[in-house]
Amino acid sequence: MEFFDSLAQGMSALMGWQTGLALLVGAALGVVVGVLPGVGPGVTIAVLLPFTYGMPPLAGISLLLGVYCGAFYGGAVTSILIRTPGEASSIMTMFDGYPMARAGQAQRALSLAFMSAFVGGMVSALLLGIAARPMAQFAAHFGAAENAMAILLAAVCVGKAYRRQFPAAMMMMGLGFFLATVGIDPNSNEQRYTFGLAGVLSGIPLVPVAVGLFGLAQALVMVSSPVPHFDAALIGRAGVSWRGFLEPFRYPRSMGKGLFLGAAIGVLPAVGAALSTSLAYFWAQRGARDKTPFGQGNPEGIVAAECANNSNSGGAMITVLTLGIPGDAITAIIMGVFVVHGIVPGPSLFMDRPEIINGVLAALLVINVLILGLLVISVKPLARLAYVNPRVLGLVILALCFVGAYSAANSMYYVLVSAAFGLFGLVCARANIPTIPLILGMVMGDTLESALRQVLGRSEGDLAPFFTRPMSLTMGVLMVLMVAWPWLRQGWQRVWPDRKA
Amino acid sequence: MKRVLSGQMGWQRWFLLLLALVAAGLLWGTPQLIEPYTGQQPWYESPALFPRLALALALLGGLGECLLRREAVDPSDSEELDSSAARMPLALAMLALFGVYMLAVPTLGYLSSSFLFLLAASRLLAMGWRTALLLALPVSLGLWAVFVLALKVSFGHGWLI
Repeated sequence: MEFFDSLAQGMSALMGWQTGLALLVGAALGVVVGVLPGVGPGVTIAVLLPFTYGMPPLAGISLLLGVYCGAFYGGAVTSILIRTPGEASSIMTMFDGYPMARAGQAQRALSLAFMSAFVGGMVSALLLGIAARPMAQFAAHFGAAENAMAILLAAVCVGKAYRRQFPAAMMMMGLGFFLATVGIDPNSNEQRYTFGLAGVLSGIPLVPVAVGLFGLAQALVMVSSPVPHFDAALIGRAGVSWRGFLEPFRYPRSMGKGLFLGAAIGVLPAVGAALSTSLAYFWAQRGARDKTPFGQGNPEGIVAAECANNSNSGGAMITVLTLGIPGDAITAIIMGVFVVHGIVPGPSLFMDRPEIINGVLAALLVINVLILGLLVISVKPLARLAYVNPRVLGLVILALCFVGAYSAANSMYYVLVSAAFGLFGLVCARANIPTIPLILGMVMGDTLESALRQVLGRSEGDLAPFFTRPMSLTMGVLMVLMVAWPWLRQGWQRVWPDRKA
Repeated sequence: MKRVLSGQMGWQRWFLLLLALVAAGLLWGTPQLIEPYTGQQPWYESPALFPRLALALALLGGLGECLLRREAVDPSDSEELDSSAARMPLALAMLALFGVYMLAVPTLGYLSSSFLFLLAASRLLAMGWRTALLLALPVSLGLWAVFVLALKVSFGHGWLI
């Protein structure tokens, strides 16, 4: 009952024309960027971020959520029709979608993908509505020690998500934490690492860093890479079929596997949709009803992958809303909108601004309906966007990055920062160093520092509070186990060479 | 350890080492880089505590990655942005052009600078004059209409619009 009350409140919070327009524009933009070659939701959200500052908070968040969710749907179009995944998380859809399209069933493949993604999106939004409140009530018992440990645990999870690049990810996380400290210290009013520059006194702003790392670096790669060639023969066959829309419901087991993995992995910081889609795809292979071999047009491969892909969004928002910990770069930027409007994500948000929480829940539901509607009526012209030259897009993104960074504060300093981080992002991409942890570090740095100061100030430098409170201790132990896992596994294999750790 | 230290010292490892050195330099210079730094507070109340911890993490991470990365890594292995096909001289030239664009906006004005930037960038990418004009004119006009006329973003007053 409480859920339906929240939903009704959320729906009424969305009623303003600005929020309605933001939902529609965000959903349409998301689908378009999902189809456009080389442009991801990260670039779009980074460039759009400054424009959300002038909007009411819920309208700004709805716009970015629309882009976030829409890109998941749009990515399937190019995966199925031209064997080029728009997003990394759409790769698994390509394995069976493209052979199906080649066999003259493009409309069936697209309909299967859209309906599965729709089910994933709706279920994850419902999950957010059901699970967020109890989780926030649980998190409300957190003190500063637990908050600090939760952020540190999230940082280690982010690092672990990069597997062999764990040290590089931790380095970038450390740099992100450091960048968050630059400027005037709010506690002591001392200037930290400003080098006497007036522009740096207020700190290194998140917007130009995000625009540089995600927008500018991506645009520079797009303009300097050769134009990719693809087999466009199937683009003309884009469309949807009503039979295909109903088909995913014939495979409830594959659907359930995708939904479970997508939502569960979505909650984990930085792990992302790409892992959940691949796990769901391989899990669906076991006990599949349809006997078509996987990789040759099995509908259950598409159902499991797309359900997992789109059920990430709700899970990722749970940690942002209840703990104030972003799961990935996109939710980190969305969290930036909260912070700019003076809204502090975390358990207190449920008490202080319930209309925001309920609004996000309702927005996720409405966005999925809007996207499905948009795809049904416009999939044919949308698919033609795949023809757009990525170099031309790259140039337009460069021009947008300039105005996006500048307009955040009407300052050329912001453009300079974004250019510097654009170069840094480009070099990091070339050197295969992850940059998302840097943004996550910047977003979480302030909270971590104030939590650490609070705990250590109260205990006068005694570290015991971190290890005497059960939740904090549990998170600490988990963190140590995660960091020490490779050595523990090595030790296990040395002692018991025949058993798997 | 010898095995770990062996291997190619490619530019990627030098870059990691440079980042680690920057972190080390900032860590070492922290008392000079915080103003006014008294050093009188207990360690747990010091404004230098958190930045030092962050920089130590960056330093350890950078050195750890530098030691572990014994072979050159293919940029196409990147889990974020695949830049394997990008031509770096062209990307850097484009960034330099972006820098000129930054300088031109306050002098010339937003519309004319955007037009010239898009025209020059299109030509740099070997697009024909016609294509370059067809791209530069509508895009710069569209951006100007949206941001200057509609959203009232002020770029100052240049010689032109």
